[in-house]
Amino acid sequence: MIETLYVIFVSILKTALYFGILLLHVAYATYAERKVIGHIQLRLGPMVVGPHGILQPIADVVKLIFKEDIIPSNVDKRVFAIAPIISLTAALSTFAVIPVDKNFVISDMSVGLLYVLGIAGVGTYGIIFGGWASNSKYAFLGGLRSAAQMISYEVALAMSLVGVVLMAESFNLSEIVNKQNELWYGMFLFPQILGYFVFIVAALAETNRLPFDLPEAETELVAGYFVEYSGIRFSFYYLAEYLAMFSMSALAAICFWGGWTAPPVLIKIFPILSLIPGIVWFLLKVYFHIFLFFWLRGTLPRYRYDQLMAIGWKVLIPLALFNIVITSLIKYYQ
Amino acid sequence: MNNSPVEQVFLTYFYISLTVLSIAVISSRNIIHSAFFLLILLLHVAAVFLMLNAEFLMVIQIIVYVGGVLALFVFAIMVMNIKEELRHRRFVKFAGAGLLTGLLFFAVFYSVVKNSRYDFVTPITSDTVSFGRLLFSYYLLPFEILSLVLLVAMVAGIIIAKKYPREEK
Repeated sequence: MIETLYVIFVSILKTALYFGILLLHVAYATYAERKVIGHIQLRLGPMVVGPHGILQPIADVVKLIFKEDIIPSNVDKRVFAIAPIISLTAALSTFAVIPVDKNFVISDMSVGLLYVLGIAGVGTYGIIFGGWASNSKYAFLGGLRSAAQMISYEVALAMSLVGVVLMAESFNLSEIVNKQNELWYGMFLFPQILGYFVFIVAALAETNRLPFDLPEAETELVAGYFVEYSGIRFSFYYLAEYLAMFSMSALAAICFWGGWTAPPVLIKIFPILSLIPGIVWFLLKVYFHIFLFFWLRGTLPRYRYDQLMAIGWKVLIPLALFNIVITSLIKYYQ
Repeated sequence: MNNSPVEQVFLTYFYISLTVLSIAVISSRNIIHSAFFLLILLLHVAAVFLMLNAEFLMVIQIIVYVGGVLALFVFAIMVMNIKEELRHRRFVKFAGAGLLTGLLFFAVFYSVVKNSRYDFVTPITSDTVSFGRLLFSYYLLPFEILSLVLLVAMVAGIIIAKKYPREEK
């Protein structure tokens, strides 16, 4: 009994620590985005709260929490209230299987990769239900667009990772990282470059980021599925979007960049690099992808809806299938 | 089968809420609410798979049912005008027939399940491995036949969705 309680206590502590730090990262990702986008557009970004606006995310969170939670009169109240929570829960629970360092993962599930993909799909429902419950044209159109977009791009996303699974012979994320470390260059990025390309494009679409942010296209849908939301419920959606970005970046870092390990060839040349803890490597790789997301947002214009669908079904999925065939052929004749 | 009290508490919760949720799915008047309850129900089924050490089945349950089937349901439901149905009284007319069908189904199901034997053996390899082995050796023929059926369904879907040349004029 004592042992059971101990296990429960440790899991709760581990989870609280992990998610506390994660949410802090997410809060500062919003700050980083505003800064990066600002500098791309030759502005300074937030500068007022604290030196260089460093306390801006804290101020934002406080503002969002104390704002009035407005529920419009003709909405479906229960669904309206619960939809953002679905999105947030789905986005948070992805991180249960993502290993941030050697042996530091909350649940070392044998099918972690599939779990992340499956749970990412659950997040869609928050958006669909939120869009429907708002009882507004813009929100509804945003919800429908997002549903179609996410369902289409989930296929490409999953297929782009099949090559990685074939090479690692496992769905377990820690195992995938360990397998990559056996290669001298320590990442699947080079043999799976095609899969990586498909993955990044599909991840952009899956997280509703520019250039694929059709569900919340400001110029046509005001703000898309969360037009009617305000206060804390709005911040749930906002948080879910950034968390999805983090989980996709973490997945890219784990599946293609070798997770918390440094490339063995680099360690051989500079032995001093082995002193750097794994979490630093992992965060470096994750933040590279986060920066990529911001960078693309500052660079590319938005695609049209039919272009988005055409890219997903006619370019990405054939490319991913081609990648699977090539990878399995090489694997078979090795 | 498992002695840990924590697991038993969780399983009891899942079984009770599965029952409550499945009643909620069929009894709620608004079909969007039904879809919502179905979402939670399917996630609970996945959780039960997880408690039974079938991780692969759990994830497949989420990907196929939650990510695929239910998404299509919701898609179809959302573009329907449900105001009409909300005004009607519940479909009491069919309650008797529904109850009868349910009882019949339960009786048949029970007579099949009654004598089956359960072996709760903790698997040595992960269930992904054993699942894959079985699928590509013992069940290879059914698997291939199923893939053919899926191909036919896919071709049929494309044909149905295709515009006929006559309509384009």
